[in-house]
Amino acid sequence: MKTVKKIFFVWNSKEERDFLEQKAKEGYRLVDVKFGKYIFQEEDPKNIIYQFDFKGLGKIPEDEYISFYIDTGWILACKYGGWYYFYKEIKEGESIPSIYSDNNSKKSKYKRLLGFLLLTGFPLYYQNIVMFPNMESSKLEFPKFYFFFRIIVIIVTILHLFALIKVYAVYHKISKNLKE
Amino acid sequence: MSKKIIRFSPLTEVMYYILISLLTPLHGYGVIKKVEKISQGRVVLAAGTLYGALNTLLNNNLIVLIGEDKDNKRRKLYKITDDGKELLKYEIMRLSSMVESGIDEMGGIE
Repeated sequence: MKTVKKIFFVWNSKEERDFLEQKAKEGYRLVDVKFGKYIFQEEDPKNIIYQFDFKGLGKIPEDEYISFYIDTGWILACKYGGWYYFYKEIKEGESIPSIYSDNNSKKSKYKRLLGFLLLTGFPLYYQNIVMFPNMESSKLEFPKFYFFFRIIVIIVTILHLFALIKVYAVYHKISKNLKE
Repeated sequence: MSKKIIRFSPLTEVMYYILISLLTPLHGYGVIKKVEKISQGRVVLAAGTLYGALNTLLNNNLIVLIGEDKDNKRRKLYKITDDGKELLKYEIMRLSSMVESGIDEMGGIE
């Protein structure tokens, strides 16, 4: 087992994939992801392709969802916060497989992600727009609890907004692309 | 033809082929194999694409879950609904009229 500390944000999935595929070439196969941590199992160096999918809420249950991947030759490495990390070994010269065969389904992954972000963002924006402005100002003074709490909420909100914008930009880019 | 069904037209190639394949009950992987066969290898559905498309078709009541595979309980069986069939008829008419106009105006495709 080998643990590598690293953080990738949702808009860095290309870099994350490159990192994992490089590790596979060095002989480390991904077995688990935790916040800021990637855990690998040592094995022979391999040519592995990683793909990440965001399931979101849907009528199709998880075990059936995973069976679609297993039946088409993908292996589930791990799950992390709504994300599924799938991989497949490829031989030299083989074409790179994808978990999406058309543009439309690539788009719907980002749509599910946007829906999730909006849902999780609601309490954050509520706190910023409704809760804090309506609080007694003495409670928000330094060094009271809410002073620090508000700073944390603001930082998380900025990150959240950034993620929303980045994900929307990718969604928009795919929407404009008629081909594939 | 009801307005409700027409709003799903035009169908994407993936949705169209999945609907045709589900004229007989199939599970997810069965859909992938059948679509590949009837499209003569041209349309090969990837797992994430199949998942997204089945979810959309289920949510819009164009297909229904009818049970599970006897040999593998994780594999659920789906079938087209009457709405789905109505939509297919509309699409086939629309597509053949499109092809006809194209051939007429081009004077053949040779």
